Amino acid sequence: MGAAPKKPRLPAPRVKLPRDYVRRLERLVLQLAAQGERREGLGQAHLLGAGEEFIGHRPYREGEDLRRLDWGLLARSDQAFVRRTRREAAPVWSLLLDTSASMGIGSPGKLSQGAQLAGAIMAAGLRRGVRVQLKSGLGPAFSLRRGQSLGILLSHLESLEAGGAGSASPEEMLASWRPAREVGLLVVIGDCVGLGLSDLKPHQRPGRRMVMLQVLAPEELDPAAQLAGAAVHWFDPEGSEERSGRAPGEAASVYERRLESWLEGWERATRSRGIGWSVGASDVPFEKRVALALEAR
Amino acid sequence: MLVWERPLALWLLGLLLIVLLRSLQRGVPAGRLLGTLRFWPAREVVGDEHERQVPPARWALLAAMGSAVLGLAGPVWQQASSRPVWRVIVDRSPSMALATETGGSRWGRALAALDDALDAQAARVFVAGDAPELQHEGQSPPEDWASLTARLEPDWPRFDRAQTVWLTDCLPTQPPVHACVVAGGGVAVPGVVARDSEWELVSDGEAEILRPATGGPLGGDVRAPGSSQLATLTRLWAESRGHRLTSESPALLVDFVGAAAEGALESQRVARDGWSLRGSVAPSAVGRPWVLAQPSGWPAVSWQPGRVDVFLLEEGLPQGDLAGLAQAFGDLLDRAVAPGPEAISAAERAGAGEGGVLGTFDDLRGEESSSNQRQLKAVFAGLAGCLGLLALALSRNGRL
Repeated sequence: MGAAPKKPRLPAPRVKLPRDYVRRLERLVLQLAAQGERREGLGQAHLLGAGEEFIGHRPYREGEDLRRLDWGLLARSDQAFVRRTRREAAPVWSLLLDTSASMGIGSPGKLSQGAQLAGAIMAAGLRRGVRVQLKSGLGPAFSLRRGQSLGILLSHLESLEAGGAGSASPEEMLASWRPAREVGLLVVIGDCVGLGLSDLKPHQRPGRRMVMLQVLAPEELDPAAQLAGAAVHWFDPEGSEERSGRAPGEAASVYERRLESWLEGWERATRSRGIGWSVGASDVPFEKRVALALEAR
Repeated sequence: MLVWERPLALWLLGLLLIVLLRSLQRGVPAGRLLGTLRFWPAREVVGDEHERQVPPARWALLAAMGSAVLGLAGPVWQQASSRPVWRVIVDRSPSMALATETGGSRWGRALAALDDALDAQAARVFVAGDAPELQHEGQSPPEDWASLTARLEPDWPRFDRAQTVWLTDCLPTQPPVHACVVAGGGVAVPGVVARDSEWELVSDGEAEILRPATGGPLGGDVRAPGSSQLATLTRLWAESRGHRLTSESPALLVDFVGAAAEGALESQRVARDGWSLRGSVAPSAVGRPWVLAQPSGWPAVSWQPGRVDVFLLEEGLPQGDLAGLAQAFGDLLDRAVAPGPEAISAAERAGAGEGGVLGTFDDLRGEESSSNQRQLKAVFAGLAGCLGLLALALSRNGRL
């Protein structure tokens, strides 16, 4: 029996988008747009800024806010219509994608999953006419406006590398970057292992929604199922720490309790602060999580 | 015995062995990255405490493949009884150790003839004809079975059975019914037949000649306790033959056990050659009977090389031809005493003829019926299938 194994290289440092990613993206965007229309019709429109642009009428439904009733049309036609509007000045959606080394693990890789989530949210935003920007390091954010090619976004996503030059964790990006006032949606995507609620608090402001999408590798969420009793020697992808154990086993049980406690803490903290939050494995289809993030409130 | 129809297929087992060794190498704990490592409790275990571990599903899969390979090699179980086994009854009398005209001994010639007669693949069990409890399994009997020791010729009719060979130097006058005979043959070997302090009897191959003794007396010490008539005769015989009466390591032990035996039968008569004796006889079955008591049929005197046992407690003087009794008992003692290497009886020194073989040596070779063979391919194939299913089931619950 030799010594402990050497620290392995990151198994999935690069972004690999599925072959059908564009097709799934387009379908998801259409679904989200249709849902948005319905919500607006129900008077539950979100993400509306101060200014609104009139785009038409629709029949009034019982229970709707009477302030949205077009009183002039009611006087002229004796029928109740509601004014349909769209924001005059498109707000900004900002996304922070964790590109630290810990995002380069998992199967599929956590960074790939994070990039798919970011791409889907940005595509949905462009569809709604908002300006989207993606910050994945300490450098300038990558921005897109409506009308720009989706291919640019995909190319940018595929250029990202976990632990690569210029990569950064969300807490590092939040500490060194202040979103513009017009940012109406701030989404943090990553494993958020080093993130704390105190890192998010300074960026909350009225009219801005914050969402935190945690991505963990399958073996991080459920090591027992992945290892099936095998001995394993764990390494910290971002440091020099090492641990050994077997899952299932005593150490694995302790780990699962601690992880569960940590996630429950995030759920409570974000709920109390009005921050959207969800956690999922990197092998969960991105459509499910994107919808959850945009419909959370 | 397990035999293989396609033994080359067994080389595939080496391939499986390589796979197994590589699996054990990979049993070193896997190194993995964990972004949430801070939740894993710190333990000092690093490396050496880990055991090589091959997943159970992989063991099952390897076992299934091994079984499949064994099945592919075509295992066939042949019952051991299908191999012919010959019982060779060995004549260990002194004549077998005599030299032959072509060099070597009659013993060697007989063994060579046996090798010619029997197939080399045939299993052989050698049985000492004078002491059937001595047996030896192999291609040839032990070397020390051939010596000039005064051993008796086998009681041949006792060994007349199928799949049996009589190994001797001279073809028997009464050929066996079931057994086969291998005789080495050999010319007569002249030499001393008997000797006492004054005379010696020498055989020239055809006749026996009495001449003054040229060497010292033959034989050694004789132990013959007791005071009966037969004991007296024993002492007289020993004196005439140049033996000394002693009590330790005798060349001939004449034991009068009848006097001390319990449960002796009363008043039986012992008679032969014109003389008779009356006495009580103790039941016994030691050695070869020389004279039987009447009417019980128990041996009153029996003998074997180096030993004469007298089970008769005499009740009076001998009756009839006393000289005949002395001569007959003397002949018995002459036959029983260990003669030493120079003195071999005339019957042993006589020519053994050309030798030869009697009987047919058809054995079970070629008669190995399929009933003696069991094809094990199906067994291994079934085993491989079961293990494969087990591997499949295990792989669903864990890694392969």
